[in-house]
Formats: sequence, C-alpha cells, structure tokens
Amino acid sequence: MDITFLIEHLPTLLRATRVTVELTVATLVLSTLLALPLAVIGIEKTSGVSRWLNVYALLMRSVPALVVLFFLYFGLAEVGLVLPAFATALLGLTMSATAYNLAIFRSGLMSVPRGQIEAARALGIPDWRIWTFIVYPQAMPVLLPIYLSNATLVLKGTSVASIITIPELTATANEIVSLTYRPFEILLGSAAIYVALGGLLSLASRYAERTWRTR
Amino acid sequence: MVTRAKPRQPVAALSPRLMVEMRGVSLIINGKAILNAVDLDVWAGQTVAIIGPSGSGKTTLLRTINHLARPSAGEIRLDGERIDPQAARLRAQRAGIGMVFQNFNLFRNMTALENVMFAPVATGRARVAEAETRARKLIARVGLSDKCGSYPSELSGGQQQRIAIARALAMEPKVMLFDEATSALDPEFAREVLDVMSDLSASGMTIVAVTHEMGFARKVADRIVFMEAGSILADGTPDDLFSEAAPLRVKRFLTS
Repeated sequence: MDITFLIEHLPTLLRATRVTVELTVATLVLSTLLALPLAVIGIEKTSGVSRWLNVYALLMRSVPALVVLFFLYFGLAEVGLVLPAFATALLGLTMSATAYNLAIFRSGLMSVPRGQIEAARALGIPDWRIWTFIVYPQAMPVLLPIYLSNATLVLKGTSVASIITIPELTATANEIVSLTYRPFEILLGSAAIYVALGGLLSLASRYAERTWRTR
Repeated sequence: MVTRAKPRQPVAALSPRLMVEMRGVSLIINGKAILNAVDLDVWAGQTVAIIGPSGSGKTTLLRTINHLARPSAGEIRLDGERIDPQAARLRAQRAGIGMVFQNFNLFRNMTALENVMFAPVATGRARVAEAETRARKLIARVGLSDKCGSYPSELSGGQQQRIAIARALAMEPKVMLFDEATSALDPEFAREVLDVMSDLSASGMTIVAVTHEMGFARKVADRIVFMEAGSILADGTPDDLFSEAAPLRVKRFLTS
C-alpha cells in the first residue's frame, strides 16, 4: 500500500466524487419529487392510471439500470435521438429510482389507517393537504428507513454511468488504474470514498428515524 | 307498512327549515341495491336516530349525505342547496356537515388541540390564533381541557370520540352526522359520548345518528327512522315506534 501514490491521485478522485454526488443528489431529488405525488394514486382505489404505474414500477425494477442506460444512450441514438451523456445518465437513473421510490412510498402510505383520509375528506380538507399534513407524516416512520437504504443503492448505482462516459468516481478510478497499472491503492481509495458517502446517508437515516419516531 | 310521522316542529326555530332533504336516493353496487330510492327530510334542530338491523343500509344512507358514498341516483340537499359532486364545491359543502365515525379516525400525528384546529386552518376558514381559541373552547365543551396536548394514542376511546366531536364542531356545521359513534366503546365510555350528543341535541344542533343505543333513540331523538334492506320501513316519534301500534317488524327488532 503506497499512501503517497494515493494522495497524488486523490484530487482527481475527489473531483470525480463531485460528479458522483451531483448525479446521486439530482437522481434522488427528481425521483423523490416524481414518486411523492405518483405514489398517492391508487392508495384509496385502484384505477387505470394506478395499474399502469404498477406495471412501470415492476418493469423498471426488473431491468438492470445498465440496460436502461445502454438503451437510452445507444438505442435511442439509432433512431436519431441523441441526448448529452449526463442527461442520459440522469434520465435513466431517475427512471429506475422513481420505480423503487414509488414502491417504497406506497408501502408507507398503505400503513396509515384509511379512516383518517375519510375523516379529513368529510371535513372538506383539500386532498393535497390531506396527503401532506396527515398521511405522509404518519407514513414517514415506515418508509424512511427503506427510502434511505435505497438512497445508498442509488449512490452506488451511479457507477453504471461510467459505461456511458460520465467521469464519475468509478470511471475515473478505472482510468487512473488503466494508466498506472496500480489498481490496489486507487480502488481502495475510491471504495473508501463510497463508504464515507454511504456513512453520511446512514447518519441521515438515524437522525430521520429519531425525528419521525412513531407515537 | 310504512308509518310517516309529520315532522315535529323543532323547538329552536319557529318556521321549520329543511336541513337535509333526500329524494329518491339509491346506491347500487355490483347490481345490488344498498339503498332503494330513499326519501328523508330532516328539519333544522331535529335529532333523528336511524335504527335497523345490520346491513340495512343505515351507515350508507348517512354517508351519502356528504357524498362519502356517492349515490347512483337521487338528489340530496343541504339547507336547500343541492350537494354538488364537483370537487371544490363538494369540499365547501362537506365543511358544513360534521361527521363522527365509529372508529374516531383522529389524525394520529396531531395532538387533540391540533386535531380540532386543523380543518378550519387547512380550509382557510380561520387563522391559526383564532382557530386555536375556538378549538380550546370546543375541547372544554366536551370536558377535555386537560387533554389538549395529548396525542390520540394517549386518550381512551371515549376521550378520542369526544375530541372527534369537537373536531367536527370546529367547522361550525349545519348538521352533525353520527355513524355508530358509540359502537366501539365500553358502556362507561359510551355514556360520556352519549352525554355530549344529548347536550348537542338540546342546544338545537341538527343531528342524524345511526345508532344501536335504543336508550338514546328513545330519550334524545325527536324522530326514529327504521331501515331494512335499503329502504325506510318506518319513520315516527319515539313514542310511535316504541308503542304497541308500531309495525310488527319494528316491534320484533326492538324486542329482539
């Protein structure tokens, strides 16, 4: 183990970490913003839309993110639709993460007794306030631990973006390795960075669980 | 055989005012008629008890009044205004109809006080400070001032139901609907809730209560409606329905 070699390349790895973090945060924010309202559909009564969402969630969770990215990057290019690499990665990862978040949010929402929604309706409270102030807050203790553990998967999942030329942590580490033929230090270093980022998420998870403890 | 009693003149108002008016209300689910062209008039200040065997459509009838159950046919009017299924107008009309459920359905992430003040604030009817003052008064009225800061899980069933009544009253409803409000409670707790309901009735509130409490129906209600198989079989004063002259079916139900 040659620490000085690792330190020499650390700035490059950290620059790549920024890309990884950006991709992770953007994917999480987009997929969460999409899944929060979509998860509500079908909680009270299954409908055509909710059935399609179920099919989507099932399909997207079955197909590897790698395949989705390949399809978006190379497959769509064949029919003349070319997106920038970062946009493609963000789109593919968001499509996949949204499917997972949909399922996670649903399971949380289903855990809240339905009668409260009815009582709120009977009081004339608008739907979005019912979900925002009554149902989601009670679903939090159920969904947050799963959501945050899934966020760790999203973080690690950004590494597949390396195959469509995104200079994130894994791609950059691989590049250094292929230039220097010294995989040990570099891969260990990038693993340590993933562990540190995952650690931040698990800290957030612990804090969140304390905040949303069930009454 | 149907007994139709003339609506008793309410004490509070000199000229009787129709608060709830149901005309030919039917509800059909999978080809089965849960409600069968029901007509019902409830006058301002009246307390109407709806009784009848399980599955007779009592609860469904109550739930069609605020469209929690959407009728397949018929018309429902609240204080002369037709209940409109269009979302925004329905919300506005629902606000004028208080409803109390068998399982209380308090918002479990909110304290008793927050439960009572939430709806007026969330519907833009009151500012927070004003809603809080009113909520505290209502909670005092149901005798639970010391429980303002308690969460539903820290309250007994009877206390939860009294908070649920205060929550409904916070919207200043024109009519209060009670759906078997005491069925999930021990007799002792049921008494607390029935006392609150009796006070409300005495104060002139218009009440429609689906109930198994024959004592309440007999002593507090101005009128008893007996339902069977989705229809109203008898409708009269407690004296009518608890008398020898009552329809045989009603007598059999009351003595069983």
